Amino acid sequence: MRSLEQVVSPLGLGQAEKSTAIMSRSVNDGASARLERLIQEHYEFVWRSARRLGVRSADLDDVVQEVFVVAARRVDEITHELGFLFRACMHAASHSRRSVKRRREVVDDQRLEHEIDRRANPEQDAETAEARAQLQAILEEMPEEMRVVFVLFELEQFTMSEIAETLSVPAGTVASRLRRAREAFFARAADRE
Amino acid sequence: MKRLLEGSIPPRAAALLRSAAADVPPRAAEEKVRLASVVSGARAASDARSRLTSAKWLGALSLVVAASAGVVGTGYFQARAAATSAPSPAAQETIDVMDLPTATAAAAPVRVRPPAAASAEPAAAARARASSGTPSLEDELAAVDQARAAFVGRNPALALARVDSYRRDFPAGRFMDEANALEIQALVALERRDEARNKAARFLAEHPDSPYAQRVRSAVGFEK
Repeated sequence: MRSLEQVVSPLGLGQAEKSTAIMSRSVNDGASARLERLIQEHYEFVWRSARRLGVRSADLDDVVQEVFVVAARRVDEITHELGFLFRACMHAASHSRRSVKRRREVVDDQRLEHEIDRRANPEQDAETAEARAQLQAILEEMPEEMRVVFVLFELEQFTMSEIAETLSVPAGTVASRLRRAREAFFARAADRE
Repeated sequence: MKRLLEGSIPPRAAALLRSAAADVPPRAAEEKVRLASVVSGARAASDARSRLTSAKWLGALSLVVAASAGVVGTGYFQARAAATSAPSPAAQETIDVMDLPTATAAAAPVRVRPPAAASAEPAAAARARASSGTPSLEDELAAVDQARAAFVGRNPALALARVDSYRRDFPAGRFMDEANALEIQALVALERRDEARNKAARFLAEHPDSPYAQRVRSAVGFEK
């Protein structure tokens, strides 16, 4: 298995210099301030991304935490913040799914989804809640490589080139995955009418 | 390329895509505060490891300097050491280390003293005291780590108790800013908001530039 360092490195500056104790205080404070800001601004993005990548609600907090711990370790290397966080999220999510499989837990996913929907936003009207649950179901039926492109482009407003950079794939590949993802989305949205 | 919602698509598909906007985490404010502590712990741990490694080298170096200064026996440094009425030579030794800038150490006020002051004393004595149970940087770091771990582990009451014992054991603690910030976060988690806000106001008045100021502000909901 590839290490997380290898997985996220394309978005960083390569091998970071080892930090030393002589690192200037202002640099260090800057890193802490940046981390606090990353959490304040992008916590919701990481949470949504983890959920859309199929992390169960019981594991969401752990996965989100893992993403920010990785960001803390590599904060000086982060260039495209959302891209970095999403990539770390993909890795943490796949790790979480594997460990769930290993634990062979019996989970009533539908019940969990129901719970999370109610908890998430009590004032949300029933129609929106239902649409949201269906969207989640459609996303979960898509192969991951199509799903991530669809989520980043249609729901998170990434540009095609940001997606290509985030996933380290050519722009043409991103375009063809998006096309297939849209076809799947329309087919399944029609099924559920 | 245009997004689907910018073009014309079937109403049901549009409704599904728009529903994504309702995808919001249930406890965002609480989790952000908790995560800020978690990641600061992760950074502090890696900073501390590198600091301790360097501290060991610096310690060895200062003992060598101490030995030679002891032989020369300069009256200046002895007089200077007495005049500053330093708490103890042991404390001065660690101050050398703490002057190394790091995020966590930023909490400690920078005290500038002649580094050689500690060396007024023979190296052997300094070494003997170092191993005689004087609280070390490691002990202090461990104490504040335990308080943070309790808070991160969603046990704010235990975090408060550990902050208290940190203050008791290290009255001139070098991580006092972090301990104060943890206390405020734990009070918020325990719904003791008035206490938290009072302490936060005092903290921000006394340490407006602390690296923990932003965390304290977000914990109690103060605007910057």
